Formats: sequence, structure tokens, C-alpha cells
Amino acid sequence: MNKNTSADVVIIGTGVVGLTIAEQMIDAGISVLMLEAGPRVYRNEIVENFRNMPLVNKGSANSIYPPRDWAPHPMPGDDYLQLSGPDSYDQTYIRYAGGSTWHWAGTSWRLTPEDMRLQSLYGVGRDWAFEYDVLEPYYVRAEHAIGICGPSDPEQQWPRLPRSAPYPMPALPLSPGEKKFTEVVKSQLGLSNIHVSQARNSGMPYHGRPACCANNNCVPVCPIGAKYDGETALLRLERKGVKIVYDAVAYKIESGEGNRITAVHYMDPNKQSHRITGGHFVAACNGLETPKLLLMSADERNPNGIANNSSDQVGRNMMDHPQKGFTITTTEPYWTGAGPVVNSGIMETSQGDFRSRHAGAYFRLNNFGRNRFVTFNALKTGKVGRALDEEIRREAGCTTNVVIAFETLANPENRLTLSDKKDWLGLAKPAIHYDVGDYTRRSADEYGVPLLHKIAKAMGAVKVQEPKGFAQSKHIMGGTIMGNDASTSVVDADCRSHDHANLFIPGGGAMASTACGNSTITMVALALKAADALQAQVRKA
Amino acid sequence: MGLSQLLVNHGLNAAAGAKMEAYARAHFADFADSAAAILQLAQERKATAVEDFYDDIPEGPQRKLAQWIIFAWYSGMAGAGKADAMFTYEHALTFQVTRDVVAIPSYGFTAPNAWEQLDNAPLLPIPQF
Repeated sequence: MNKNTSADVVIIGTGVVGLTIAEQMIDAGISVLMLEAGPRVYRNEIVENFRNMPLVNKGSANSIYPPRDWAPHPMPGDDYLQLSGPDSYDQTYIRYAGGSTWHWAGTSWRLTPEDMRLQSLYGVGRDWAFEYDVLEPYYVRAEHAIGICGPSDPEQQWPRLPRSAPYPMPALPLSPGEKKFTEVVKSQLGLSNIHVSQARNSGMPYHGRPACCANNNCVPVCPIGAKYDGETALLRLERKGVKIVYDAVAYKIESGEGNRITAVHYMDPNKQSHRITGGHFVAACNGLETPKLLLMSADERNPNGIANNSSDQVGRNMMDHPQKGFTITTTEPYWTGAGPVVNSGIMETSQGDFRSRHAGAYFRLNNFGRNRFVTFNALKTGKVGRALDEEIRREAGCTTNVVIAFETLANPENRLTLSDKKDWLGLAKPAIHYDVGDYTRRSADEYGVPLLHKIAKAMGAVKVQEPKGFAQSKHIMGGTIMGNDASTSVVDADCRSHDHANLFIPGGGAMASTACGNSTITMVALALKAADALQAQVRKA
Repeated sequence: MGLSQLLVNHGLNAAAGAKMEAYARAHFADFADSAAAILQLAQERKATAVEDFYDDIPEGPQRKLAQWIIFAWYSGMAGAGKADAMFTYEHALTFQVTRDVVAIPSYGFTAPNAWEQLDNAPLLPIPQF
């Protein structure tokens, strides 16, 4: 095989899902070719971008990742995503090698068994194609594959169920403010603020990455690589011989005899087209870009788009964790800003019989250092000298950000389609219609926000600033939803397309429910499950 | 730097100060006169800290320059906008005020997991810097 134009497995996308599958394939002796729309960049460049970013912009998740002309991704104030509907599906992701792992927080909550049986237990949403006990071993593999630390105390674990193996590293310590918050919500409200399991090295190196040294910059970039991100994995995969073509924008997946996938076409920055052939294909190029690519690839055999003949569900069921971030002012400090930016959370509030009426909710005290957010406010007071020092210190210590993240339900009307607006290469921009839905709104009105105010009171709040509407969590799910019924879902239990035997579409798009916790660990678990199926299938071919 | 040292009660980074001065000379038409007047006022008051003379700086160009110099040292920026000039990040004084308990984002703060030893520090005293 020509390694530059063909491979046993062709993977579109070099985010955490593509990288995880690629490593398993290459370790099994299966040739892999990866296509990445964006550039290969290195950590030093990104860190310098951050340090040279104006202070007002240092809270931005993506401003240090300027998109290349040929691989646009959403940036503040732009119109790459064509948005409509009652709520704005205003997501952030990065089309660079390594994908959005560059700026994820590393938070790695597992789903619970109940999260995967919403329809059976509560009469809402969808059930998964399998139950938690099927996923649990893959969670363990995911925790070891990307280096997730977590507590050994079962009371501190999520979910509070037996695990088939311990975390590879212990939990990271809490910051002073997190410790105080944990004590307050437990003593006054009986709530458990537990350690986040997170893809970050705790107290030791792991997989060639150093231990976390409290740089408090996981978002937008870990400066030392203590957090899992694609860069470390890319270096390893390049050494192992995985062929990766950067700046290669896949724009068409080609079908052939028997509706098998035969090739992927991509454009380079000179707008020249190339064709890559392979035995098996994996589409894992982001929760929005993957369904966009499938829809763009419509052909005579598949007039609704690749993987979309049987169900017409590609691009539908777009989900996220709609969130509300509250700024809470107290008289006594809750110091945040030592350690990871997200380091603990209240997850038990995501579970309960109330889910037949409204969504669950997850509460977290963000652990970002506050200086970048409060300095200009303090300077506006006109204070100088010692009074100014005290004002900055008060605002940094006595203002906190407490976030509620809600679950959403799969709704086929929340839909990505192809806009008639074109990008630099002439490809359709994604258009997304979105409504968080009454299930989520009821949770905010009846449950989440009232409980937030109780938490604020317990903290000793003197001021609570509530946001309007919902913000997005950038956890893109549902666009290539999983199920056992080919008429209502896009992929099967192994993330294999119902319509194409040699096409796998693993990742957040396959998730049938969101729960409240961040989706990446589940995406990796699904990637590993898909990788097992793919490996077996390649061996048989 | 002499003027900055009177307006800010802390040790200052000379390289950042040089950038600020160059910017101020280019953007404040009356920089030299205003700076001289503020210095003279401070000397008259025998000032050793900004509190000794700041309230007596007259409104107008002198006050505006003094406010800007303080703003620049604490934020490291010429202004609060995304397009404003940046003089320093890690030497911006806002981060020094909380240096005992908050990392300067992206810079290492403690040994691995050693932030566990940090107390929820009181608001006072403010660290010396």
C-alpha cells in the first residue's frame, strides 16, 4: 500500500477519539493514515500566545488558537456557526492537530447506570444500546489510556459503585477555597463536593507527561503537558509510524459497491483535492464537523448523506450541558486559583426520580484564579496604594464562580444542517437550530437555581449575580446518535454506521444521553469499544 | 521609573517600566510637563508612598497620567481593551497582591500536589513585594 494515499484504517480527525483508535491500531500492526484539517502546532507557541494575550482576553478558551483560513472554527463574534432557535448552540472547538484537547479542562466524570436508561427509568429521552456494566471496563481502559487521576475512597468516587480497577493516580488536592466550599456545603446542606476525576498527572509523571504543578491554566492550555492533550499523543504516534497528513480538510466520504466506504477526499491549503483509499474508515473530526462532513458527502446511493439513509438522524439530536455561571460575592475569602481550574463538584444532584419531570444538575466551584476577571473592576474604583492592593485582594478572594451544568434530552429538532453560507474553501458552514427544551428549563427554574441560592447562602453570600439564559459547555453530543434500531439511530453499539459496514463514527456524537458530567471520558470509552470492534473486523478482512 | 516608584508602593520591573515610559511619551502629549509636575509635588510633600501626595494631584493631564501609570503597573496593559498595548504579564502587580495563594496562570506555583499545604489565607496582611 502507498502509505501516503492508502491504509488499512483511515481516520479523519486527530482529537482524543482519533488518536486513541490510531494508537490501538498501530500497536496491533494495522496501518493507519490520519487526516487533520488544521495545523500541527507545538505547546511553546500556544503558551506564548497565551502569555502575550491582553489581560481582558485571558479568560477566553479559544482566542489563543487563531483558525487557519482552510480550517475555520468558531471564534468570538464570528459567524462560522450559523445559529438559530430559542437558544444559541454557540460552541467552541479547535481545528488544530490534537483538536479540542488543547483547551479542555480534563474533567472526567463517568456516566451512571441510570444516566444510560432515561427512557426505561424516567420515561424521557433515550436508553443507550447497552448498560453501564458493558461500558465500565472501557472506562477503566480510558482512565489508563489518557491518564486520569481520581480518589481511592469510594465515597469520593463517581458513580459510587464498585470499579473493576483503581485509578492510575490519586486525586489532586483541593485549593483552599475548594476545601472551604466542601466543608460549607456538607455541614449546612448535606451535599458532597467530591474530587473531580481528571486527565491530569497527580503527584507523579505518567505517559511521558510531568506532574501537575498548579499552573492553573488547564484552560486554555496546560503549559507543561501535565493534562492530557493531543500534543503528547501526537508525538508518540508520529514516533510509532502513524502517517498523519496535516492541513488536510476532508470534504467528501465516497461510497462504493455494497455501500462500503471506499475513499475520503480532502483539500489542501492550495485548494487542491486529494483522494485517500482504505479498508476501513473512522470519522472522528468533532461533534459538529463530523455530521457536517457526512451530510456534505451525499451521493446517489446515499441521498440524505453518508450514514444517513436508514434513519435521517445525522446532525439531529444535538446536545450539550447548558450551564449557568453565577458570580457570588462573600465577605470571607474562598481562594481559588491554586491547582487545576476545575477540581471538584457536586454530582449527586444529577440523580433522582425527579428526572421524570426535569433534568439533573451538577454544581461546581470553578477554581480559576480570579485576578484576570477582577483587576479592571478594582482599578475602576480609583483607589491607589494600599487601598488598591486591598481591593484587588478582596475581589480576587471574595468573588467566586459557581456553575450549574444541566443535562439535555435528545431532540431530533435540535439539528445541524448545511448552511448556504460557504467557508474559505467553498464548503458549507454548519447551521444549527437549538432549543435547550422545557426539561432543562424546568430544572433551572424549579431545582438548579433555587439550590444554587441555598449554596450561595451557605457560603455567606452578600451578592449573587445570575446570568440570563444558558451558556454552552462545549460538550458537543448527539449528532450521530447510537442505538440498536437502524431506523432511529446512526451507529450501532460499536459506533459502526448502520448503513456502511466499514465506517465507524465514535465519540460524543454517539452518546444517547448527556447526563451532567463532561463527555470526554465517555467519548474515549466509546472509542476503545469501537477500536476493539474495528480491530477484529480488520483482522477478518 | 522614579515617577512610577512614587505612584506605586512596590518593587517594579525595569523592563516593563521602560515600555510604559516609551508608550506614555508617544501617547501623552504633555507627558514631560505632567511627569515633572507630579514629581515636584511628591518632593514638596516629602512623599514616600503614593498616599502621601496622590489626592493633591490636580485634575486634568497630571491626574490622568498618574492614574494611567498606576493602571499600567497593576494590569500590565495600556488599557482594558483586547487591542490595547501590553507591557508585561507576569510582572503585572495584580498577581503579586495574591502571590501567596493564587498562581500566575501558566506559571508553576508549587511542587507536585504541594498546594494541599496552602491555607485559606486571610485577606490581610498583603504579601510584601
